[in-house]
Amino acid sequence: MPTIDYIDIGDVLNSDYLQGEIVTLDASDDTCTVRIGGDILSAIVFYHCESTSALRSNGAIEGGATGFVVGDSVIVHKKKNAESVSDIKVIGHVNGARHCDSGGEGYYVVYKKDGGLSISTCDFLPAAVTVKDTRTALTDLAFLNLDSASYVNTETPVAWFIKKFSHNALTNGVRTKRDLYYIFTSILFSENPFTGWVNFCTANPSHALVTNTLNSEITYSAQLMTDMQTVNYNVNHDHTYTSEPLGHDNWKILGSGEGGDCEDFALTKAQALLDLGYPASALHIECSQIDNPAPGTRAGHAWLVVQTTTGDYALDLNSDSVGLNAALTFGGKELYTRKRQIGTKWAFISPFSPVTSCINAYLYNYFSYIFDPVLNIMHTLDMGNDYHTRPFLTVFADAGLSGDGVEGKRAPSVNFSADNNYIYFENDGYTYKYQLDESVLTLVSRVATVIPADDTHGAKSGFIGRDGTMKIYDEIVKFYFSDDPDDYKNGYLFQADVITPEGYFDNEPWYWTADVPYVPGVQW
Amino acid sequence: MADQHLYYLPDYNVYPVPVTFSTAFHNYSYWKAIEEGENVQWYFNGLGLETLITSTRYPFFWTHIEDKNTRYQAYNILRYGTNSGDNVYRFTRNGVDYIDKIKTALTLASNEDIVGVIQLPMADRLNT
Repeated sequence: MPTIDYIDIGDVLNSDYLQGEIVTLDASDDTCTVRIGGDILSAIVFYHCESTSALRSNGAIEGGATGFVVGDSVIVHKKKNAESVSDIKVIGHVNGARHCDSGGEGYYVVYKKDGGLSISTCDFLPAAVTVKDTRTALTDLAFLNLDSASYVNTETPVAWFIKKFSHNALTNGVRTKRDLYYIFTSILFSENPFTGWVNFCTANPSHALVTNTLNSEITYSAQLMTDMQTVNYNVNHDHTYTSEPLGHDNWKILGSGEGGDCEDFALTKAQALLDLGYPASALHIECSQIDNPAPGTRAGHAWLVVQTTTGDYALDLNSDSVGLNAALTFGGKELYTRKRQIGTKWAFISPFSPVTSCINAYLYNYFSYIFDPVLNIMHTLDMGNDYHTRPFLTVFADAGLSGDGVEGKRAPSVNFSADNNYIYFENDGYTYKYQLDESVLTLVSRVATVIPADDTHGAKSGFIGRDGTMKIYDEIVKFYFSDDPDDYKNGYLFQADVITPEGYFDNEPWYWTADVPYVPGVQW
Repeated sequence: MADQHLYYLPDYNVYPVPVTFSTAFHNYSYWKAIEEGENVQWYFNGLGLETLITSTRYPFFWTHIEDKNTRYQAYNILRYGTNSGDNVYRFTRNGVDYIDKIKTALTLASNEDIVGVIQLPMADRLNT
């Protein structure tokens, strides 16, 4: 196991242990940049994900970067007289160890089993696929698989496209370059899985929990724990639990002596902590389904999570003691579909959260999303007049991306600016410009797409470039075979393929050539 | 346009066209022509769907995943139920076939039991 070996006491005294924040990460060589005070320094990641991890030639431990994400608070080992990048090592987390992402994690397989659909969370490792957990799609997860006639179809395939790109996202007040994902899929994710929360937001648009877009931690202290314990106990004992009928869940902050159900207790505790001066950015409602609920009992639960520097704590109406949120159960039953509110958004917390309460649409319905892998929030891109009926992979010479007269609906086109500031999305004749600001995907502008003047195709065709403008290929180009200006063939645009370089989309035209004048059927 | 590459149309008479997934930059994100069929030259050429719509309700199953900086991962499973019973399934990860690994892990009898594969690189927020 690679270790940091001191030569003598002088070497020890020459080392500082500092606290920093990861700014960028490069898993290809396990290097990073880390903010220490006001400085951003290049560093190597010296962190063991496996006891057998090898030492890289640059001094980093292979795979160490998978133990971190941008924004992590980290411990940095730095030589006082640091001369090279290897003298600055990220060696651990300030808030305790974390699982490393081995590269095969985060996979789901949807499959037919026992006449229905099941979904398993899996690790896709080089040697084998390993199953971590399994749930039935319909009954456990409310994952509906549609065709034109049924919500419980077992044939409709799940289409999934995910691509990573870099974006300067506003993160805890600082615009920071980090990884986001573009997702194009047949799955319709619900942005508002809890109607009661939507109604609360509508009724209380200026409430701190609603307007908050930040995700922060309160510095842990004995006073904080005392306040959490006191608020939890008082609310649990000052109010009576009163269930609400299915479909009529009314989320509210309880008045003195008023009764309510679980989310009302959670909101009331949040309000009490807000009144004590704690920030809304660290107070969040969490909701989940309950594993295997007894017949006739409720299947869902809600509670308050307080995010602190020593971990997330749950304030639950079923317990007067405040414990770590990760360990919370419902009478010993797992809470397996946790989603945590940040303002009006809901973040995925449990592994099964993303595939809960969503719909895999029947053929040719597709949806585009931006996924934030730090907060675990799925942001829906504008659907234009409706969903998309085909993938965005090819621009055709005759119909372009419009598909007009072919399928009646356009395929989208998406790209990511070279300066990492914007996400461009072209759909249904409009170009959308987005930017991620904390937990909100901000629509910067929406303008009618400008079709280049040299578009001779007669269609709203094209491909959105990294500058946010529509690109069109010439319909006919000349291909020269020697220096002789007459030694050429005309190339006729056949189609242009969308290709996927790292971090953005590109487009590559296909031509077919023929003698001049063009004779169909002669191919080059 | 001098720097444009000259491409040839595919030869519809040569099937199946071998498909290579690699870590190469500019690798295509989709599946080219797969196999011979009376009306099906291109399963997933962005469009070419008219034939498939009339042929089967569920013509393809498409998954493309790019995971981490140093990897290009492409997965494709195509379902085509009317092609002489010869359904097409491919599922590769960095060029390595995974469909048998999935079937083994989930004790599935048939490729057709697989309906979809999703990858979502989430932060572990229960461990913070």
